[in-house]
Amino acid sequence: MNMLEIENLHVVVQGQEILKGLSLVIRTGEVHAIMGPNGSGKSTLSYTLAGREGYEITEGRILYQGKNLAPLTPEERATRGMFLAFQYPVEIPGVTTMNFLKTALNAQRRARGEKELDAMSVLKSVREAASALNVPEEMLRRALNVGFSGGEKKRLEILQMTLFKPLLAILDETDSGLDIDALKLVAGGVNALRAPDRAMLVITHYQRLLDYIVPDRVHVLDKGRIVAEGGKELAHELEAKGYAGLARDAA
Amino acid sequence: MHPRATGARNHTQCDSLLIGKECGAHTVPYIECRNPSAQIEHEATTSKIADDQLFYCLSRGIGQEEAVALIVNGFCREVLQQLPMEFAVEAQKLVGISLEGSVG
Amino acid sequence: MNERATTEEFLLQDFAADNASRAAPRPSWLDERRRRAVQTFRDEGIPNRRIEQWKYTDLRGALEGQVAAVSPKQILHSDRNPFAAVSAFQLSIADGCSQVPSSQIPLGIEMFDLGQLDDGAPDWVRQNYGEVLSRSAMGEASLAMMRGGIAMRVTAVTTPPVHLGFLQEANAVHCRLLLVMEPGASLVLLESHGKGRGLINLGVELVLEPNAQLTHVRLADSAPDAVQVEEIGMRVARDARYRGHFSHKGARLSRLELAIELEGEGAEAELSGAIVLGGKLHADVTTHIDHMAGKTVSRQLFKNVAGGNSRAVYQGKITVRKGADGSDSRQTAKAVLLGTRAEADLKPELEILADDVKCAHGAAVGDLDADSLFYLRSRGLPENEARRLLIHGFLEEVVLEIDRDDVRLAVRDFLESGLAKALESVS
Repeated sequence: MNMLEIENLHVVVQGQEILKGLSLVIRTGEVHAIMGPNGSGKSTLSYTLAGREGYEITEGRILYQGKNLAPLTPEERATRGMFLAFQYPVEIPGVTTMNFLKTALNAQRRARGEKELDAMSVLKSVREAASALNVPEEMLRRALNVGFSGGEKKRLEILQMTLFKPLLAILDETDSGLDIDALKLVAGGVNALRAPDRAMLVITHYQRLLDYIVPDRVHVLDKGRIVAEGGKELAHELEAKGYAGLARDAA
Repeated sequence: MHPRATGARNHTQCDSLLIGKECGAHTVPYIECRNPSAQIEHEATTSKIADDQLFYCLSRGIGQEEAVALIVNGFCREVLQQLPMEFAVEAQKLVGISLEGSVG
Repeated sequence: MNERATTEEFLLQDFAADNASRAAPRPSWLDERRRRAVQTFRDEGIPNRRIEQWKYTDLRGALEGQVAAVSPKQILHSDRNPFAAVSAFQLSIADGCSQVPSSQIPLGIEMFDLGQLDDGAPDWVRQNYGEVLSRSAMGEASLAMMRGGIAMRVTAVTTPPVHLGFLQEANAVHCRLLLVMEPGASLVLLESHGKGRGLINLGVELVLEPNAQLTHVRLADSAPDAVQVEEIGMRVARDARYRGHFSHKGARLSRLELAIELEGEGAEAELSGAIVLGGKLHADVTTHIDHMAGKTVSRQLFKNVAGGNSRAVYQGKITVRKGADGSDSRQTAKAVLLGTRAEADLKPELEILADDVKCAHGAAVGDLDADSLFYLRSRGLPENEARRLLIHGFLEEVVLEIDRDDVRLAVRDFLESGLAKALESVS
């Protein structure tokens, strides 16, 4: 079954067309990678999938679990199992990380008609996820992402992914700004979530991350279109030739 | 900001530099907002010329008055830069004239 | 007789009748001071919007024809005590009247019932009463028509907080509070105002002698039928420190005015507060911090949230006098509107006459951050819940200014319930 089908997607942001006929299919249980140079439309794709305001689909469509994604609000997408790990997680002063996690977890459960969890059960699940990702308890008491290092922010994104157990996880440049130890930790967290009923879309600029999260398919995005596709070896080819070389080959 | 000023934006920055003991600075912005999506920001600072800046200039052989003029020019630069060239030159001269004899 | 005279004269007559019926004492040492206060109140009259400092808050408009129309002796004391969970020495002041107990007052504190102000009043009352608060129309009105109130003197470092709970039944009450902090003394003062009805006009005088420390937390519940005016005058001496927190849910019209004189070198004032409004309520916080001596420090953080048809106002004036070198003053005021019929006004005012100073202020009104809103929604929070959480975070910064855990919890609960109401009035 297909988790995500993107057909001829055109997206306009602030009057400018960024995605120009992107097509992509991700089957349930698969991990796909999208690579591309800066400005190729990687982040536009992730924000469009998450439903950010101002990302207008002018042509084509996105099917998520076989249903049209466009009419759904960001929170409805989250409740239906979609999760975006942000490239730049947002800082929210005055809201503790723990309070945020509890509120989000219960909002999703409520929307799905599940019973809300009490503070103790939330704390237990959060602690489990936190210890695996080396997130100290003290971080959970601080305001969400405020004063966190780049690595801490990314670890917190993966912690949320572990906690929410999404069906489709989109990782937007989760490797950017991470040193090698943090990268391994984050990749370990992601790999632990690989499952037959879950799909993942890993968006990255560099091949490095794909040494640790080995994808089933690799797509190369350039100027708003997929210009090359292949297995995991494509990432290495790309590393050797560069985006320009690959674009020449494709043309 | 009136009730229909949806999405309107304003940012005002107002910095004062005090030179000498006999001067003062007054800043009184009025911010009245009646639209929830409008954005108004006002920031102001008042300070004197930093001693370390002045000392740095003096230690490089620049005289007191000239050093102050230099620092004041730097302070005003951000604003004067916005002007067309011919006005910017005039404005810079005016800053120089108004500073004469104000240091003590 | 014009309309203006009627409201002022009504208040004066109402007071005279009430005073006669209670056979209140008349201390002779205060006669002249009272006479002048009446004169100032008559001359200046109740402030209106044509007076610059009252531009956003039309007190006269709110009182004209309204004070007399309210029927007195309505029972409204269903109020919850916002400081119920704080273990404090509590004193109720109903219509300005209180029963000062002869025992149980915490060690190091003296109390005196201003309703019994006579020729036997202690020296510290006679020296300070009416001498600290500025001679504004409403400040003078609270002195001229004072029905009662409390005077306190603190002579030591005290531990249990003192909670003054103001309640009101009568249609116009003028009340005073005097607090003298002796050198090195410290106190936590909690002040709460219930729903009330009609006019309550409270004049507060705070004297902080050298090295004294006062923490003052004031919570005013929403009072849709009341007009609340409180003017606080304060003198802060060398190395003394005042920390004030003021949170409101608004009244038909509410005005809190603080005038702080940092008189001695090293004196400090730290103010924080929040206004959370819905319905047709109005709240105005006006501050004036006067740096009169060198190395004085002031900090202000105020955050306002207005929904429904409400209006939240902050005015903050900072003066640094000539010669007050080394002074350091910071002021931040922010507001968020919840709907298209609410209004927020901010008016900072800097008057800097010394050159060796650090002064910074920032004021902003705006919508909640769009990136944060999207982030929360992408985590499954419905938009209204995401907004509520962001406003909670917006206010939390102010709540965190409060040192004591028990008081901070009380203030957080107070603002959360206000926020729930304000959000209701939007949908």
